[in-house]
Amino acid sequence: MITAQANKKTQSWYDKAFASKLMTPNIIVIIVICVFPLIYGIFLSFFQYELALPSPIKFVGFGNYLKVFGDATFWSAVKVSFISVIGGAALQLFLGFGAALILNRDFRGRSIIVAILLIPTTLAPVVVGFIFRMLLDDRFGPVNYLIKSIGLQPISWWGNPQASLPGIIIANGWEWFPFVMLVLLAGLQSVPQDLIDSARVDGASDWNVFWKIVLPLLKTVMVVVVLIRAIEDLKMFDIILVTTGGGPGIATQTMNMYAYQKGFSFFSIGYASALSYVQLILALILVRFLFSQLSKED
Amino acid sequence: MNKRLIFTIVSMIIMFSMLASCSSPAAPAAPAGQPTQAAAAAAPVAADTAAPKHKVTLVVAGDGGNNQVQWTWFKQEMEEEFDVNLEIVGLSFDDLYTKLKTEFVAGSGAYDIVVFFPKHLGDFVANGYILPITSYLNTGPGADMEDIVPRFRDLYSKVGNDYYTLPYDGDILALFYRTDLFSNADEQAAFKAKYGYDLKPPETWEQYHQVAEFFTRKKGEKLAGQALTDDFYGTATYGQKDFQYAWYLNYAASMGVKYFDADMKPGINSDAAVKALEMYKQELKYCPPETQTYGFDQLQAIFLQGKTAMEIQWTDPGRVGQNPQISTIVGKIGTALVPGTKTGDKVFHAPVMAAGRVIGITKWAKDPAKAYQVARFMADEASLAYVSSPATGQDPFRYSHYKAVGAFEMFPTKKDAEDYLNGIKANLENGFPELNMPGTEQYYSALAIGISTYFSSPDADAKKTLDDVAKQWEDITNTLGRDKQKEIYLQLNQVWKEAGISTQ
Repeated sequence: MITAQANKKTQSWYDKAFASKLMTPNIIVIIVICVFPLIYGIFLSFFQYELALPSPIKFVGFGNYLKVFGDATFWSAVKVSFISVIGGAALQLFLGFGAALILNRDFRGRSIIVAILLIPTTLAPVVVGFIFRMLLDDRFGPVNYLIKSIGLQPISWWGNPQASLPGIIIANGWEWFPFVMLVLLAGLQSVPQDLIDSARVDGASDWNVFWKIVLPLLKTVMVVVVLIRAIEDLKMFDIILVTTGGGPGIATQTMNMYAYQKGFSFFSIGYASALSYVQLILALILVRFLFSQLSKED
Repeated sequence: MNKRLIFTIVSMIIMFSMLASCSSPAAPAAPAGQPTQAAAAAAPVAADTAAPKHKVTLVVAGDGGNNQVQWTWFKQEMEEEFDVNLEIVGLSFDDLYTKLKTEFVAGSGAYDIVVFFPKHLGDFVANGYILPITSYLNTGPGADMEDIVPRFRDLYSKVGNDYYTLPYDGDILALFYRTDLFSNADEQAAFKAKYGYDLKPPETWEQYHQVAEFFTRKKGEKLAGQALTDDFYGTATYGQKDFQYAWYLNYAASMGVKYFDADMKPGINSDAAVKALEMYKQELKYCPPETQTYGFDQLQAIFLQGKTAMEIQWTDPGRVGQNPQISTIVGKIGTALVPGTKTGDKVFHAPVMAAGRVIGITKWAKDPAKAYQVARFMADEASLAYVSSPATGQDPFRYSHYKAVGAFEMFPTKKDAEDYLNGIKANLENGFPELNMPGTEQYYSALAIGISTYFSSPDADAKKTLDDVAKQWEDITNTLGRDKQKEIYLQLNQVWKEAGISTQ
């Protein structure tokens, strides 16, 4: 019996050792591709490292971070990023939930409609940017044509700082609301029908059923999908680059775009690294807040 | 056990294939069938009747599309004449600097010959990315440098006493106007009655605004005797952030604004600079409402569609506007000097030499002598073919180009071609240079954002806007190193002074 136990232990150790050997190449690749750049980026953020001139790299400690916190353009980018995240989440939730509610019942042609609604999500963000650049073009865009035809003043979507960010939120919302729709549809379909039937028997109206039963049960799913979209919207880049390039002025320049400009147009590597890590911290704060909504529910 | 063996083999295959894909960037992979230069040198020397000598492959990189198509026209001829293989790599216009700089910083050696915007010349030279070509010009076949318009040759090819590039695209801003409207008797009479002088292409900025105001009309009003079916505008301007600064500098440079003084203090917020910005904003009253969104294509299109009386643009509308498939004003386009500022009896014009392209040889070039030959061929012998073609985006830069009227076949008459060529030549001869020193992207980005923000905000103050820009310029200079930047700027100034430009 002791021998059988010892054999079992040895076999288990052997299995673990073998598993570790098999995982080692993957771990090395992950360290090289993911972990090393992450740490090197933090390291660079403590240096003044300008590639515009062959000047030596200079250690500046937290100098880059202090510069970030005193940079008005950065704070403008933070504001733009958070407006686009909050506006984007609201629009995607509104459209996605609406579509999910409509599709949460059987009707003829439902599967075709679902397939059509999923098309925007299959497009590359650059393509979506080009589509909306043309759709919302001041002079030739069909949207302004329709607005003019009903007697209203056309909107300068890409030339007006007040309209350009909403234009981007609309483009991004159009692309990603189908994803929100899919997740919420799955959530709706997991709501127990018995609860709804019982409520109806007790005389609850459709609105009461929705507000008091369906919505509370869906809250966790909604928070998760908003969390996922918020993280993705914080990273939004392609649509902005193609439509406004961050303009007019810096009206649509997000933290992402600003860090990209500093790193890849100006080659201020140290400062761009600091910008990226400050952005990461702000993103983590947002994620933490959204997660806290989840645990409130729990 | 068998399962474990299979897992082990599969893992090793995956690992080795991933490691194999991360090959060293320092040794660029040779195209299939072509050994690297080192391998070729190590191969035993064979008799002439044995396998043919391996040719060096030179990689040419620049922004693609119609700015690079001419390389394919002459590729075979150059390969035969210079005994090389040429690989043409097209990069995006917007990312050209980023892509080139990234390769240079990484030391990848990916490119032998590069076509780039001259405003990055100072950066590339200061960092040692491109080779001086003065010795090649002096000892080998020259590139007929005397034939090149001196402003373009000296301001965009020279750093200090050395030449580093050869010209490829003589971009210059020019004034284009509707000859049919300017020669209309009714319009002439009405203009004279209102402003007291004859209607003609404006020479000063005040006249430019008056002409633009005169021709800005609403739908239903008359223009040259015909009722307008849509709003018509006196002019249009470039609005996107990448080059809007050039349209501002047309005003500012003609008013004597300097980039910096001798101590590297910015001149961009001087009284003249503020006046220039305020005057530029006034121009928007006579432009289409969406002009602030215009890039190159939109600015050209609005004029060629017959919606504006004038515009300041690169030289393309004059040529491209003769194509009836895209232009409604064929044979009705005049070319003139960008307006200037009157000082005493003279009018000082400063059309900005915005963008442009030059050819340089990188320090990683596998065969710099052959790379020079290729660059020289494109800058000299091949140049007339591509600057006179409507299929390319390149503009004349040699006196021989301006004289070759017959080569510009797109014009309805030789006189039209002559007028166009004389017009753009006059602008290039008076050209005002872009900055070309380390940090140029940063200086211009700060200026462009300032201008864009000022234009999109009705209550913005021009002085405050430019003071903010000047502060950012100071920060950029201090970050890059004031002493080094001053040394480079003063060296640049010396070249500008020798070319006849007053910058301090």
